[in-house]
Amino acid sequence: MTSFFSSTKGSDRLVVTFNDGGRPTKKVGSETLEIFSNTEPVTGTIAVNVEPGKKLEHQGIKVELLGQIEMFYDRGNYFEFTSVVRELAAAGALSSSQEYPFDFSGVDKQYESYSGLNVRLRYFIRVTVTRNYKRDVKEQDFVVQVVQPPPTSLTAIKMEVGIEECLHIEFEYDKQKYHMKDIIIGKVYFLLVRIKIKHMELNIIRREQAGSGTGGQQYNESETLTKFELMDGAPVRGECIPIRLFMSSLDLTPTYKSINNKFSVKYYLNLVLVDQEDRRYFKQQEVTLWRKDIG
Amino acid sequence: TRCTPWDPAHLGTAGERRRRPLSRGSSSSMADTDEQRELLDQSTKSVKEQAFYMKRAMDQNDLKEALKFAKDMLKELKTSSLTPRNYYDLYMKVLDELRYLEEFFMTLQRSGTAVSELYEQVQSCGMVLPRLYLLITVGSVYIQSRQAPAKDILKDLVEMAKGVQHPMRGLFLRNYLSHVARDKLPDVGSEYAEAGGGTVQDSLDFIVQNFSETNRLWVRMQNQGKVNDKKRREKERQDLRILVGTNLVRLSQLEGVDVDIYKETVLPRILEQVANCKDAIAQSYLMDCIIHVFPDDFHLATLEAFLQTCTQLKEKVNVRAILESMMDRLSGFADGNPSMIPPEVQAFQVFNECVTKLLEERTSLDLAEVLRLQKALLNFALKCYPGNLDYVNHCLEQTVAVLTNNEKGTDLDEPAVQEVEALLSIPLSSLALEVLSLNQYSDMLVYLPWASRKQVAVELLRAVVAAGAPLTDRANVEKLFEMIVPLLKDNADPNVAEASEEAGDDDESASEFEREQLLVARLVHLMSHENTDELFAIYIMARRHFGQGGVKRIQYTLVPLIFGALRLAQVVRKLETSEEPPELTNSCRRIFQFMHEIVTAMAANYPDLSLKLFLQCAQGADQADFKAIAYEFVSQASILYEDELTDSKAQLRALISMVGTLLACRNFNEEDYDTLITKTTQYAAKLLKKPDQCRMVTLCSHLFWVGKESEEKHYHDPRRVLECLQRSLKIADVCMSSSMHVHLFVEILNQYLYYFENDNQMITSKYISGLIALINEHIENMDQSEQRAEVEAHYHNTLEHIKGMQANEKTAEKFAPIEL
Repeated sequence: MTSFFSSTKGSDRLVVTFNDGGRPTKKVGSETLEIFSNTEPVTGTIAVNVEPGKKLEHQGIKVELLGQIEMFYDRGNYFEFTSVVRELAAAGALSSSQEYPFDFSGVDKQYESYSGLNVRLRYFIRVTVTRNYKRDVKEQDFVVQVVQPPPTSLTAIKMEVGIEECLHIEFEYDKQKYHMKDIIIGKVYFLLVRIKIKHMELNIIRREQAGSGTGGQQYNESETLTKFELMDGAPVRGECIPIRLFMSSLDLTPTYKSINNKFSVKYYLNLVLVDQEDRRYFKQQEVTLWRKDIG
Repeated sequence: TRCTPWDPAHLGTAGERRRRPLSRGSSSSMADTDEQRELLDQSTKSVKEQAFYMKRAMDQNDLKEALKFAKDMLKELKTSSLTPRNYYDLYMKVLDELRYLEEFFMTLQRSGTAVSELYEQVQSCGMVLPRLYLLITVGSVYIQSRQAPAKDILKDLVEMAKGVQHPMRGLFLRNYLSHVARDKLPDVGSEYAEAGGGTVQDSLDFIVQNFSETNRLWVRMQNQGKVNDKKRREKERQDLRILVGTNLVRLSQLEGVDVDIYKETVLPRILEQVANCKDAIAQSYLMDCIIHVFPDDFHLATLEAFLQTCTQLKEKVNVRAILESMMDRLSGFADGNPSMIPPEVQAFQVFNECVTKLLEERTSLDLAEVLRLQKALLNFALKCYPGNLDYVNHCLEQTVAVLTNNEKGTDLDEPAVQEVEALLSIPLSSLALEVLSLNQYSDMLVYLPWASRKQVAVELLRAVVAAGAPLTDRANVEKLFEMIVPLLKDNADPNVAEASEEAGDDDESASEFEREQLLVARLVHLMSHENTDELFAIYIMARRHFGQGGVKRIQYTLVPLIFGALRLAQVVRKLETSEEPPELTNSCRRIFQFMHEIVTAMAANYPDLSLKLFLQCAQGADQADFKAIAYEFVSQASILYEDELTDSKAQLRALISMVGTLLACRNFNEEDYDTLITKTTQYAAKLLKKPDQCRMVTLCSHLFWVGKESEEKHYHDPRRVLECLQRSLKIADVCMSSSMHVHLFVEILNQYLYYFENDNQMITSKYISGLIALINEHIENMDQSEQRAEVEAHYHNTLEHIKGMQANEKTAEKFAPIEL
């Protein structure tokens, strides 16, 4: 089975098609990309189209699988963590369109594709047709996702937090590690309420840390992915408010820790109480997100 | 333990932008209502608009869009600016629209959508209030689809609803939950109980939890906002209370809740909530709700627990009203039949304990309120346990104890007086005379002012008279008289006495007075005893009490006593003249003496009345064959006639009575009789008006012609008869000068005929013929008038009678000589 994808950049002459096209896809920007697991062999076919009646002379055709990390603040520069080349054809001439299969089995794809605010991690197939004065190049992106084993211990997060004589609460999230389609179940128990609370919400915050931690520049960005109102109005002492947040509708990634020493992505649950003077009281807790399924 | 501090706060960050400025400081209520109306209009408009888009999306089967607009619509319910009433309006409009949404969800479900997915999907809504409304709506469909056990959904919904802690919004949300769940509760015979859907216990838990949360929110309303808004807030709370009460109604509608479950599970949990909420408004309302919502047999089974809670309520709660309400409910149920109340339920005792405990604990209750409590208890005892005097006595004892301990002494305030009055009046209707055996009854009377005591006395007498039971016990009667002292005499306190006399001037209080005294009078007729001495003793006592009543009262009270004594005299006389007369302390003679004393005492003030009474006594004495006594009575009457009667009409009436009495008495000595009738005839001849004279003399003629010749006791003096008749003719003749009195002649003619028929030798046909001729002449001289017609008719009939006698064989011979 084949399917056609427009490529991000490159020659119209070249088309990259992955085998077994029934795999799940993911929309990235305007493109819909196929998703590979980290262990999956990346195989497919390269089509080199030659217009009828014409002839294509070349100095050789090669295909590469590349993994790159780009920093947006450092445009043009990228760091390549994976690069594998296959020669498809030696120098020669093509009088008609020709297809070449390729096979990148066993190529290491240890990181997940990621597109953040300051950093991007991408995988792509690059086909190069070297010609006398120029080269025809085609790049086809794909997405890599790493399914993780379920965490071995699932401890809950429990915490008591307060301002002396003013507001004491105890909150609880059922786990410390959630998979990305998980449901956050928890509760907030009010031990002492002396302020007039207007409402309470639970935010999921993504914090992206780009750049090397040592010496070099570091770029941190936080992004609030959801503001989920938990409570309307002022509770009294002893009140216990349930938390139930379905994460499946959110655009999340797993937690990334120091990917190739270049960037990290962390997630936080932020419990926010707002009083009638719009003062905000909040407490952030890091949670680890992990990937249970491709998709 | 020290706890973690909050993360550093970003003070002053802008909150969510308010849709509308909060109303602020608008001074006039008019502006308030205008503003409210405008706010409501805006919100309503918005709801309609969003609902329109929602329905359009539903038509296109676009779930996502439909949900989006539903959320926008539900956002309107987030407002804090509307008053409860206006919020209710808005809420109802939203509810109407949510019905379409539910229907849409149903359609989706029927066409294969898993409800669990919908259930998850609506929870992605970021705002808690719209999210929960949607969740409940889907939950309803979820339960109906039977894709999950009803109990699980209900549990989840009632738990998640905790997310709304704003009192008013929370109240309405939970009302929606209760409303949606009402027909989906697992219950006996409900389809939702099948296949693990749940049991009545699950429904119970659900409702009780929703009730508890609702109540907590409602109570919390009280503590929000400014202090000086308290009044308004209380009113708003009253407006919303039905939202809380509905939950109890739902509980009572569960088929599966029987007495045992109610006793073991339901009521304890409700009462726990009532006791713990520590809010007067809520406690009053909820206790009242319990009473009205659940059936009587439930109440009977749980009375103790209920009353236990009553004693724990806040000071401000009107526990008396609650108790009264419960007592009313139960006594309505028993409806005067104590067997309706199971014997193991000692209703009176537990109520009494409750009241006692309340009195111990609530020292701040004012006297009237304490008395009202006792009154309620008394009412209950009488309605549920009619005839149980111990209970009544107990209530009165308690009351006396309360009154005795009252710091202000016997000087009660107006409400307290009313209560004591009521306390004393209540037992009367059912106990009547039995109250005499209540030890405390008269003790309590002391605490009442004169007027109130009088009122109680009237009630007492009414009850006694209505009951109609005979008064046979002298001691009892004595007690009764003590109780009704305000009716028997004027107040000893001169100030009050004056006031009452002044009041006596106007008609109303005069007739009031008369009614009271007539009641006392009727008492006499209830006095009876098979032993004549005993009864006489009672009469003597009554006489003593009545005698102190003053001139105004005796005309009502002594008269029945005379008649009672007359009746007694007859009985005693019969005993005395029997073959073996019993030993009697009081002879008949003694009784007549008693009557004589009474009438003599009245004579000065009521000569007219006394005269009649004397005559009455005379007849009685005559029947008993006490010639001298009878003579004495008649002569007393004559003296009264001479000394006291001046009014000619009164004289006329008195004379007729005297003639009647003399005709009735047949046992006088001839000599005495002569004296009396001569005197009477003289009185007749001395009357002021000629026609009166004429008629009375005619009447007196009969005094000389008593009985038939054949009878042993007859008195015939034909000459005097004739004299009388001739005298009356003369008088009539004088009257004729005014020519208005022809009928006098006709009347006299009739008398002549009577004596003629009765063989008075002195009355001959000659007289009759002459008289007829005279009348004919007179009538001819009369002008045509109504009067003439009357006379003619009478006369004609008389002549017809004569003709009849002439025609009759037996009498023809005698009547023949009469010339017509």
